[in-house]
Amino acid sequence: MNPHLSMEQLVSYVTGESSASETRALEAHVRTCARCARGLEREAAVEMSLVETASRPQRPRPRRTFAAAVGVAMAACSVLVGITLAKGAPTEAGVHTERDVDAAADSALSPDG
Amino acid sequence: MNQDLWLCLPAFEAAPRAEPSPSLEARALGGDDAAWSALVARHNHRVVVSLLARGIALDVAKDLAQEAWVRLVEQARGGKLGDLKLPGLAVRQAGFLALEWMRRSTLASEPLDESVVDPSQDQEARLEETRRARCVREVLSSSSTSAQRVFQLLYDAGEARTPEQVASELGLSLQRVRQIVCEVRKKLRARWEGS
Repeated sequence: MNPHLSMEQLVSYVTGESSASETRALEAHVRTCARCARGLEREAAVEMSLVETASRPQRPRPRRTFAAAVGVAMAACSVLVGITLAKGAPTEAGVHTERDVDAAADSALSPDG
Repeated sequence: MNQDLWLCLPAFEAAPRAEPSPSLEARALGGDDAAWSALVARHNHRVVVSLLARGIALDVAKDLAQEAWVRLVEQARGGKLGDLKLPGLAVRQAGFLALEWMRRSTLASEPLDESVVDPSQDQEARLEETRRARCVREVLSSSSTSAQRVFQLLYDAGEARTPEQVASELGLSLQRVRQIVCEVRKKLRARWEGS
């Protein structure tokens, strides 16, 4: 006869399925048997992990849909284009000025100049 | 411990599952001692098992579980409990008591050991819990659909069912439900011991 408790007995105890007499016998045994006390601790840990995992269902990660991603990208592009236009859009006067500067530089560098 | 208060709580025998927990919890919060008795009878074993899982010896676990219930009843009577969700609240209360007990025990045996107040120990325990929870999810997700359903019903956070109820609900034999439970637990143990 096996002097130790079976896995089924330990599982039955931690899940609360043992009868009153089985519970008393198991408890009396683990008080004097270190090996079975460790087995009980392990099964209790398995049980509590199952309980805790069930009580804290994993929250689904927020999923960014393709359309939302495209929208965000387009909005970002619009902002960038807007900023670029606002900063760098040359006025008519600016264009002339730059051309004038270039022309002046060209003429200064030309051997005829 | 407040022995007078403890005397009003029942001996822990198998509890009838007639009244749903939320109804009992509401009555207990309202000061109904019979509701408290029914809740203790229904959930005390889970509280004891939660302490065994922390490596607490059986007799100490039973004492700490009793103490946890007494404190909850006192808090409810003092109007300090706005909500009562069991067995979670009792398990947490027992967990705090277990930490206190472990610290006291370690201090008594090793007064110079600074590790007893090391907060990283709690952090390690949380990491271990997270690792184990991940193992559980991985093992369950790799199990058959019927096994997943069995565990979903057995460990339903709202109102867990007995294996008999699960078997009846899913149209399986009780033997098959027990077999599924054993198989999944075996895989879990193997994962824990292997990692």
